[in-house]
Parts: sequence; structure tokens; C-alpha cells
Amino acid sequence: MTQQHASYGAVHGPPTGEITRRSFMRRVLGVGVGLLSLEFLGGTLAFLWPNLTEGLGSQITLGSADDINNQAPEWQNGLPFVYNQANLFFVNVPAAKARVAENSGGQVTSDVSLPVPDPGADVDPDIAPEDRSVMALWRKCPHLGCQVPQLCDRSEWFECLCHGSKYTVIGEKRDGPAPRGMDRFEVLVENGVYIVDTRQVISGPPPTVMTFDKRTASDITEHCVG
Amino acid sequence: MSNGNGGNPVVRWVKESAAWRSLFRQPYPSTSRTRALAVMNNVFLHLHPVRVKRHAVRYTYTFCLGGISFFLFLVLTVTGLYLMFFYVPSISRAYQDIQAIEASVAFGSLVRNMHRWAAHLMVLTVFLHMIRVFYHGAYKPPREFNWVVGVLLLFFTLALSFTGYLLPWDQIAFWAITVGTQMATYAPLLSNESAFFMLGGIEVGQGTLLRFYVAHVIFFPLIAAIFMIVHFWRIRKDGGISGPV
Repeated sequence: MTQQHASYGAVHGPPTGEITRRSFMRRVLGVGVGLLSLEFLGGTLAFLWPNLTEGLGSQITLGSADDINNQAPEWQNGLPFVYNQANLFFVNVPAAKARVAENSGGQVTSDVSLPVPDPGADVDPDIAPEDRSVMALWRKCPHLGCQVPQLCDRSEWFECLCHGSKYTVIGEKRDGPAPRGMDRFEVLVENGVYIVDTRQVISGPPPTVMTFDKRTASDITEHCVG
Repeated sequence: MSNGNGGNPVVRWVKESAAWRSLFRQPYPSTSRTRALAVMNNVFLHLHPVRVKRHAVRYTYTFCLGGISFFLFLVLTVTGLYLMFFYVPSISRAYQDIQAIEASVAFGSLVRNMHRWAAHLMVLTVFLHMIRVFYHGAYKPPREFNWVVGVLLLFFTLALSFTGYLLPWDQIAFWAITVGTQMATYAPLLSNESAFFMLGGIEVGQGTLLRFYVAHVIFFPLIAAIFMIVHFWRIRKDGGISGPV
């Protein structure tokens, strides 16, 4: 049938109300090419999807408590162990809590006394994070991804240099622009050897969570950042 | 042939040969018709209009911002190709390779700095070109399609700038890409997945460097070039450059 086109005048449009062999073949071709394109796109995405077998994104063996104490003697006194290959802090939770209590001028309390050479194997996911014996905190700040420095020796908090987000020694957010506490990884213990499973990132707790070290930024006279 | 034959038999022989006549298919462009033919018979020139309006060649109308952007794209393509001979996208080599280009490759520092400054300038000229087009109202019909093509080209320019930023593998590169890709995790949909896909891992690493390299040297330049062809051709199809406001 003939139609009027704005620029070209009279043109022959597609036949209406009937399927000719030509229009049928054209639709089949269109659908076929469309499906092939989708398959190609899906295959490309699957091909390029990262498949991690080492480093961050795999299971990482840290060693036993003795191994860690040998590498980082202050671990038993509560200073988190910096494991660079996977960019994480491995926290000896009872020792870290005792350390914070000791250096907080009485604002934080803990009934554990230092040192704690072997915090134990209470790493079951059913145990609340603050009650576990060790924690693996990811050093990537949940705000915009900067690397969180080692514990600030004045506040006993992790204080991000980039925008001043601040976290307690067990990764709960206390100050700054970050949307949540520090992200963490599940820890497994096999024959006394700590294994960090970095295949799955566990989001940090919401900023309202306060299980330990309930000081606010103004309770602390001296910070490392801000 | 109407001109240039002279009486020299060698010149005549050359100009009447099959090779010459297949390269120069129309007479020397000296009349309106032959000038139009010269444009239409050339695959590169035929993207452009055969005739341009008088106001269009006035420098202060366009400031040649689109042309400068395209020129910078060509500079970046050539200097980028040169740099590829001395750069390996490996986290153990990339930084040293850049140092070696600066220090021990002949004209290496010049080529690298041309690439770097042309990249900064291209972002600027593309942005200014967009402002010029906006204030001339040249995004209005019938040019609305070409405006959208241009917006996509802006995104490709920024993507090229972003992917190139990581390649020197120095501290500012590493942390800029860390922060930049972390922004993707604030997106409402597929946030963590898109950051994971971009990074080729959980954090910036070897996977990221290779991914960004491939995107920088072939994927985005190719897509941008295809869109540029459409962009230039649409100017002609939309009746040449827009008129004065």
C-alpha cells in the first residue's frame, strides 16, 4: 500500500494485516540475529567474568597463632596483624579489647589481661562477631576504597586518612562519612591453623551497631586523622 | 584530462595510465562540479558536505572545537601506538616501563608527554565543543540524533581517559582507580557486580591492569571511531552545520 512520507512523498509501506513470505522471512531473520546477539553478549560476559584462584578472592592460609606471633610479636598484645597479600587486618579479638581498655583511660573496660598468645578457635559464623576469638577485617575503607592504616595509637581506632572515617578495633563505625563498619571475611580453623575465606565479602555492620568500645569521637582527646 | 598534460610525453604517459586514472577519477578540482566530484568520490571526504555555509568557516562560530578534538584523537592514536611498543601491561613491569620510556627511549619523554597532554586537552575541547553546541541550540531537531551521538562520544572520551589513567601503575593511578571503581558500588542495581567486572577481581590488581589496557588501546578507540564516523556524516545529512543564533 502507498503512504505519504514527510520527506520522500509517496512511498510503499509494509503490507498491513497480512504476513507475506517476505515479511515472515524478515521477522525470522530479525529474531534469529537478535537471539544470536544476546547469546554472544552473554557468552562474552561469562568469558570476561573474573575467576579468582589466588590472592584476595580465594582461601588464604595465615598459619597458626604461633606463626603469627613470630611474624608480629605485638599481636598477642592486641595490635592487629597486617596481612598485606590479602590486604587485611587479622585481629586477636580478646587481646585487642584488652589493649583498647588499657589505653582508653578507663573509658572502655575488659576483663582479659595481656598478653593473649593464642585467642582460640571460636570462629563459628553463629557466634556474634564481637564474641569470636579472631576477626579478618578488610583494609579497604567501605567509604571510597582507601587503604585503612594500622590502628591509631592515640585513639585505638582505625582512622582512614582519606576522608576521616573511623572504626573500632573490631571494625564498627564510629565517625566519618562511611556508610557502615569495615567489611570482613569468614575465618576457618583447621588443626589450629587460621584460614581466611576471601571468596565472599561480608558487609560491615550498620553504623548504629555498638557492641564494644562505645566511645564517640568527642570522648577521645587526640586522633590521628581530623 | 583538461589540464596539466602539456607537451611532455612522459607526463602524458603517466596521466593516461590506468594506475593514475584509477587514483584520480575526476579532473583536477577547478570548477564547482569537479570540486564536488572530488569530495564525493573520496571515501574519507564524502562524510563531509560538498559545500559549507559562509558562517560555518568563521573561526569564532565554532572555534574549531570539534575539529581540534578529532585532531587530538588522531594525535593520541599515533602516540599511543608508539608507546605500545615499550609498555607491557603487567604489574611487575608497567611502572618500570614508563620510567624507561621517559629515560631511555629516544623521544620517549616527548611521545609520552604528547599523549598525556593531548589526553587532558581532548577532555577539555570535547567539553567546550559540547558547550558551544548547546549555546548555539544546535541540539534541536533535526540535529537531536547527532547530539545524542555526541553525548555518547563524551562518555567514550571519559572512559578512555579513565582507563588510561591506571596504566602508569603509580600511586595516583592505583588510588584513583580504587576510588573511581568503588563509586560503582553505590549504584542502585548490580553495584558490586559491576565493580567486580570492571576490576577483574576484588581489588585493583593484575586483572584490572590488563582489562583497562585492552579497553584503552582497542575497545574504546574502536567504538569511538565508529561513532565519530556517524557523528561527522550526520552533520552533512542534517543540512550542514547549524546557523547563527
